[in-house]
Amino acid sequence: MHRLFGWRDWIVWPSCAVLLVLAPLLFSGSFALALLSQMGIAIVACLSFNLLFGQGGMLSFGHAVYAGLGGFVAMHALNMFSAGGGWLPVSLVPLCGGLGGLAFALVFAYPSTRRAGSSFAMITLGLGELVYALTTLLPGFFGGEAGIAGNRVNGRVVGGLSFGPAIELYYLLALYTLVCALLMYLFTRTPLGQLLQAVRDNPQRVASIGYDPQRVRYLAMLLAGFFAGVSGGMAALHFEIVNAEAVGSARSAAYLVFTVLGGTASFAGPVLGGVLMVLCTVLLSAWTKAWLLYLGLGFVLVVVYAPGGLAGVLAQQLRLVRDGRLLAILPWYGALAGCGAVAMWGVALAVEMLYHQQLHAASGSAFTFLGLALDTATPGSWLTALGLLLAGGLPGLWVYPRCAARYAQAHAAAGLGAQPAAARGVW
Amino acid sequence: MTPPPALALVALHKRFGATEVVCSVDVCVQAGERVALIGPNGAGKSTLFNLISGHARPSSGSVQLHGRSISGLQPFEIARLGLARSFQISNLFPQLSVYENLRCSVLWSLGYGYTFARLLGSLREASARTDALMERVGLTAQAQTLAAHLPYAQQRALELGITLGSGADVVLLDEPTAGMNRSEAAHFTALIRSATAGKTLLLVEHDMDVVADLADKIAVLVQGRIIAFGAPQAVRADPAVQAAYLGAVV
Repeated sequence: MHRLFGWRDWIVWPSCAVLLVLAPLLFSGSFALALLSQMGIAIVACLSFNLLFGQGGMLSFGHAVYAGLGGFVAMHALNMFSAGGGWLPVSLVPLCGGLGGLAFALVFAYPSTRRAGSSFAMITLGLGELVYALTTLLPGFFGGEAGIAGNRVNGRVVGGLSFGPAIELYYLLALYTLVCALLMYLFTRTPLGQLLQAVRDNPQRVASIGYDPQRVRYLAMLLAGFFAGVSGGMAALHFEIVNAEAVGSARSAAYLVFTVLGGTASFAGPVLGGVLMVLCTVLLSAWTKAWLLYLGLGFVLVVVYAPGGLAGVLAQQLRLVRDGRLLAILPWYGALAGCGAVAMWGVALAVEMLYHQQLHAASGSAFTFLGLALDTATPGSWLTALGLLLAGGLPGLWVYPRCAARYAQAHAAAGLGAQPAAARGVW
Repeated sequence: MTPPPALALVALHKRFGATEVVCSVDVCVQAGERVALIGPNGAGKSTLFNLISGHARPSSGSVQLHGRSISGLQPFEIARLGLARSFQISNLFPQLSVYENLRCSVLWSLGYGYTFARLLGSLREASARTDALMERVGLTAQAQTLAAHLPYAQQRALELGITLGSGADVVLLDEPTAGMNRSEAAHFTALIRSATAGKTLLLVEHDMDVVADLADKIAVLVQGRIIAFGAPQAVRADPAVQAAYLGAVV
């Protein structure tokens, strides 16, 4: 605990760096590269969101304000310099976004952080709506409905990098992702980072040991605004366009939902959340129109059954592995997963048929989903869905309590009730 | 010229609506003195503590720390002036470890402020002070345990440790031994005595053994008024005190 950087850090961080370097070799192709770049952007955004929520106990409903405004500032900077109004390497555009996010946070964080808890949440919600409304009132800055476009390939080549090829951009964004993540991680180990967690736990006590809780929250929000702005600037470079959606409440909600899905209690949680965000918003949404419904379902399940998010679930399994107790529960996990998959299949069939009925009625009542020929006009398809739901759900109802009991037993036997602080995170 | 008292309450009043909870309280605590504040439940002891530490504002009157008025200051400003308090109900950072709880409490007085340009692991003085503090309150073996997972008596010890962390010279303890059994209370009293040696102490306590053990003077608060203040023997002999409060005990 006295060391600057524990042995886990010396393993995890270099591994992350290697992973980022090798990822484009494993997943080649321009689409995969675009996905990877977007994951980096989402990871920085979710980490900055969690700096407020997980570490500071501040639930923000307007985090996209800082990312989005940072994106606009970055885009304006890019365009200004492309037009010849100065000299700025394209590689520093995300940093402009960060400074933009920081500048807006300097103003907006003041009213927000005077209060914690639900007042804080309400104020961020209000500010989010306010900024979104401004996008139509200030078309000069926000570019109206079309947004502001730019071109990162502006003829200036610095150090042999034009950022025209996607791979060059990927490595730039990967570097930003790694550095931002590392800085946010190190922040948790500074006096202010520690005090932020103390303010989350008990602001009254923080005041009685000499610190002003409002000031701690304010400073934390400046940092969160900065890193959110960096992610906005990264996005500006990647998409070469920023529009009003970037500051909207849907984007703010996405940061919240995916950070919670990833897990707020550990540093790795938002990283998983960022990856998940891209997988869902890009892949799942392309695969099915009903993706938001599935996402909502998954979110509710995680909040109710795994409040620690994916990272929390993984951390718990890792502890059972370390204790040699996972193997005994594995068959139960398998049974539960099997039942869940069959039931979920049934639900998905019904959902897809409903969506098909509403959205594609003109193209006929028959379609295929997951290789299964379905027809919304025949009762057989609906009965299949119901049958799958029951075939998975009924045994699932029998398996779930038994699996949970065995898990609780193993957990207790491993003495994990009173966890030492060192074991809180995934690492 | 004699130095000003470490802590002086001057004509202190606190009203909640029409109810007078603290009524013209005048108390002077000299530097190095140990004063126990006793009184029946609802007498206003915790309110008085809140008035002193800045968690509540007096309706009138003033609180002086080393001759300087601290009324109207924020709790964190008062803490920086060298006044530390504990709470009746343990008031910890539940999701931080014992070590982290105590380290938070030493940071301000070491001058690190709100810095995020230095890593905690490199602050040797903070680590050394935290280790010493942990040793002093007997929680070294629990260093990595989350505060939320500590048993009750150890939470009280941690509460005391956080209070002492800043090195404040005026210490307010709100029922430090409440809820402990006899032997725990005796052990804890010895701990408080050694840990607050040389400091000015104001303590709310119901356990008369603890009071007798720790206090040089006793102040008796009944219905928001100080009805007696002086050496323990004198206070015990005071007929008003016997009638109002100690009658059944003495």
